[in-house]
Amino acid sequence: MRLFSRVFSGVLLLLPAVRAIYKDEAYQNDWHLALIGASIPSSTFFHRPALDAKASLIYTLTSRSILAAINPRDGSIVWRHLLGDGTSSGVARKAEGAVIAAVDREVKAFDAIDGKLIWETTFAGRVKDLQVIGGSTAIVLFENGSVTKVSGGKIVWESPAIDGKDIPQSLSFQGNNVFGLYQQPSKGLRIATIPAETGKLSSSSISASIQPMDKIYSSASVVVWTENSMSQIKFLVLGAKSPAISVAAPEGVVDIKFQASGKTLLVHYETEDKSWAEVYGLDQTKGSVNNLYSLDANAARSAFSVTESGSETYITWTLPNGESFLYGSKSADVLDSYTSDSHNSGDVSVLSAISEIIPKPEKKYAVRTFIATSSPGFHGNTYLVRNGKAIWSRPESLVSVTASAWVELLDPAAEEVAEELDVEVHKSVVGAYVHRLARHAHELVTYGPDWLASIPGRVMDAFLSNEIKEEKSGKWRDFFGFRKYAVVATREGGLVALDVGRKGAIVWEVSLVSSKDAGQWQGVQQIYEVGKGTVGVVTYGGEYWEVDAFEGKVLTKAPIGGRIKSSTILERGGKSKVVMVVLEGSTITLLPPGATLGEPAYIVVRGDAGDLNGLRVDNITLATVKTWDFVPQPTEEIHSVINRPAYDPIASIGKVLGDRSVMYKYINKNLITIIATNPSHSSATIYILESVSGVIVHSAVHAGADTTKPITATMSENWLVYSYFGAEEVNGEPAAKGYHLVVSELFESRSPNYRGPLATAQMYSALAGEIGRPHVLSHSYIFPAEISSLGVTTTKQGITTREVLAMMPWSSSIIALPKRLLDPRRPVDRDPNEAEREEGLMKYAPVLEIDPRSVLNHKRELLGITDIVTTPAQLESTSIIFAYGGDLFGTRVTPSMPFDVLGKEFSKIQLVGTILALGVGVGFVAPMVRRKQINQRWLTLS
Amino acid sequence: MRTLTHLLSLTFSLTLLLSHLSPSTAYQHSTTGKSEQDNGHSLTQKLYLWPISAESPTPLYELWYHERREDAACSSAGHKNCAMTGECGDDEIVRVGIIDEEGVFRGVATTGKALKNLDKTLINIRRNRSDPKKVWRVEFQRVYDLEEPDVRATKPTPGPQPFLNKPIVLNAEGKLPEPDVEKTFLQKYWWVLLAGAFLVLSGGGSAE
Repeated sequence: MRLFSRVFSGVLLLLPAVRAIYKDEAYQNDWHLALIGASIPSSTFFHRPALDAKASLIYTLTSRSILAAINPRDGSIVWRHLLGDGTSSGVARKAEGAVIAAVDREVKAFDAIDGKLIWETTFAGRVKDLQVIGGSTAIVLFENGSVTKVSGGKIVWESPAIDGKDIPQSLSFQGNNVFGLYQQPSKGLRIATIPAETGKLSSSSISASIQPMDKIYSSASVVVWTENSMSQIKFLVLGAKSPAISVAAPEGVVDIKFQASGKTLLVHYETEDKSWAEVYGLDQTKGSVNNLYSLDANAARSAFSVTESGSETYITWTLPNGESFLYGSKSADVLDSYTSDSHNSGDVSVLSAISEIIPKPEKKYAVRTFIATSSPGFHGNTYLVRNGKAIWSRPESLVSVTASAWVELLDPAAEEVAEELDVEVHKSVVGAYVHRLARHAHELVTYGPDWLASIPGRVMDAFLSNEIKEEKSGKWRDFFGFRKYAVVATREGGLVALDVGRKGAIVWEVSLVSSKDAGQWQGVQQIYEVGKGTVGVVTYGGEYWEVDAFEGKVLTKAPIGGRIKSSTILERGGKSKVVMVVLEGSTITLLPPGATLGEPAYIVVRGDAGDLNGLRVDNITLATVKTWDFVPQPTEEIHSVINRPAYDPIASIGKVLGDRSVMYKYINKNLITIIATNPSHSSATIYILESVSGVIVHSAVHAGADTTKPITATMSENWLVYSYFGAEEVNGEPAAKGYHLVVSELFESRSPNYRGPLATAQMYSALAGEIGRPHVLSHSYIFPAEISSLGVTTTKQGITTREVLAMMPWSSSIIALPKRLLDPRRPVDRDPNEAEREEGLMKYAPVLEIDPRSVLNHKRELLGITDIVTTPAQLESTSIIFAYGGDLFGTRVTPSMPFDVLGKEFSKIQLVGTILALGVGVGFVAPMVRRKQINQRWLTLS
Repeated sequence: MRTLTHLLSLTFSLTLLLSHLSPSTAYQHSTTGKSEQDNGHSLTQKLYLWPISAESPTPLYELWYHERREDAACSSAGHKNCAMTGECGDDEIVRVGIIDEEGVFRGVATTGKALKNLDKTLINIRRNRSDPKKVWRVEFQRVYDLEEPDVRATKPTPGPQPFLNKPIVLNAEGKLPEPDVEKTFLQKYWWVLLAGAFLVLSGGGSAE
């Protein structure tokens, strides 16, 4: 039996943790919000993907340099590409059957239908502007001022800049000429005219007094700019010989935007509380500009869009409240107006709106407008309006999530009883007794005949369908605890609760900033679950918010009194949690205000001089004393500090070896990992530090570690996993160039069965030096891909084996690596002996293969993920995962297979059927056997 | 009597044999404290202690270490530290460390209790990596399984590297070289056994 169980467990260990291997198993538990970020207005357009295509798609390049094609029907992303590193802006232009985008030094043309790359060219300089001049030929303006013509990915001609001091602004194309617009440091503007065929440059200067806040715009037919800090507007029609026309700008204007299409130019004025536009017509031959009409002022922060449809030019005006108006290019008569059914709060501003207008018979119009909005805390949310009706929306503001916290949902059964008991506590004995009687009477009714009568129905339900009908919603958790809220904060100051168990549905949204103080917003430092259903938010600016995690109501808001350096949450016995905040100047504040510290606390704070300090915080005065400091080696700097997850239960204190001896884990919850890097010598040092006494318990120097590539680490239990890029030579010896994944596991002592000083001690003092010196075992593996972020699964009891989660930007996916694959005890250069095999140790292989079955996101592409956080479910086998930072992704994993829950393929009907069939069989066979036995006895007797 | 002599000689030859077989692997204990300055430790560093109740650090030890070697030494504690005199309590936090070039005290934390009995202390000197003559950090820790104070100047441990598979080298005939089969015990040491047997057999008959 023992042998069987051993063999069985061995087999279990060898199986991959259950994954969706078949297509229909994927996407059941995982969800993905593919986000792209805030659209760049000038690089967002409706475009027919092919000349004969019936419908057009929305193409947009965003501030995170993602080029995406959005289906206007439902808002789904048809395709998207991350161009550049996600921080630099760029331009995207429509071409015939293609979209050409330039980010940084690269110009790429993508097939408009499927997003496949048609051609790409990399230049030496950064691209400033790009215009498509037909087919897939583009003219590119560089930041150094030079202009290049690219056709099909090949450079046709290059035209160097005349004056290196000129600041290139934009590029226009008209007829056969390309116009490059430059701002000159002193004189004004310069327009370079380049024939598209030859690339021979001729240029002319215009004197203009352009201030830093002035705007310069150019379209195919006109150059417009403002002078003297937006007090004057000047127009210059391109291709005409006439001088610039000057118009005085209205008083009190804070912003002027220009939009042009064909012969129509729209000037959009914004004051503090109003916005309006004036429409001008351009005369190419005369070079004149005449005012066609002006619109009456309306709400501020609106957006206009100038759209050509057939021979007509239309203007749509979208107001922040969702109202929109349609105008023709001739007069200020409203062709059509749309009221909105959405109730936007007053703080919304429309960043951009692009429209597609199809005229219908009887002066009717089909108008689709793609709108990007910004409200305090939420920047870049988009939605599409069709004839005034909001069709779909995309929460693009969640692309900039910087902090998150898990919120436990309430257990309906426990909560109900707890409430009742709480009532009884506050009553007299007799009152409590009566209350108890009443409760039992109530229960008799609840679980009375009706409930009993419903049992067969429920049993039938359970048999026939696998789905549980009455799934709990809202703040009540489901039976298995798969549902949890993740409260996340955006960089702009929005607080959002996502239901991770329900495909990431947005439960509520709250803004921590108002439009007035949005300029001073410095971001959320950390979010904590401070109590049942309450989250506390600490902001860098020095505010503490408490928010109801289920409803999104702001409970309290208090100033902390200074800029925040760091914060932590302390559990001080019982239910109460205290948030300790370190202000600049190392003063300590406890939150919520009035909280007390039961006993002295020891915390670690990053110093201003790039060091790390251990502080002892007095429990009464909150005065701090520096206990230790960690200054990195003179040439090094601290890259990052990693600690163990706040919830990290350890089921077993030792590791049982094949020969029944035990290696005791070095368990110390005060361990932190410091990664120090030396960019000049390309080295990285890993220190594991005991954070109460400041003693380094383990250190490892990695010479030849590329500090320009990500170095990430994660800690759990008694081990540390980190990844870095190693050079081909380490200390003069050849080494494996590539990404390395290193595991270091800490044990109490070198020899099994022997315990260090931590031994059986109930308590130990790290200060008195009772922490011993761990024995560290390490292995290094070559990992085939870059890892930008690491995480580790957590389960309720910590019995389930752990998995290391790694974000691989190269394949835009998250992989789950079983911890036992990274075991530092894997035997090197020999096959494992029997005892090691029994432990589940495999022979060391230098390369960790990427098993596609371990990719959590299957075929989905995850872009921009910076953090992976995990939390246990109610089932021991299951860990819930949430990844954020760009896209949002959630799933749940079972590293040791779902051993405590029946699988979907388990058929209750089959089970009952088998038992019934066996029963019938026994009923048939039993009399026969009995008769045979009796006959046999008689026969032997006779 | 005769059998006894034979037995003795056999034991002797076997002992000889065994001592020949297993080279001495006596555990070399790293040189530990108490040694005097004359053993080549050219560099010194003052170690201070600083109870949190005190205004300023006071000297604890003089450390002697070498530029490269691991062994180091410290002055035997001539004077009594604050824990011995009772100036700082058992539970009081005492910082032990060095004063760096800029005059800033840099150390780790311990308690008065750990300083009372200095027998089990481990002092770990970590050198400046770019200038091994200088001290980067000194750590003072009480370790229970130590017999006597241990002072060492540790070198940074290189991080693990992947164990790469060795390339397969073929010999001139393009074949895998035959691995050298290790000789068995008898093949190697038949002559000793023979000599032993000879001794035993030719033990000479005593005049009986």
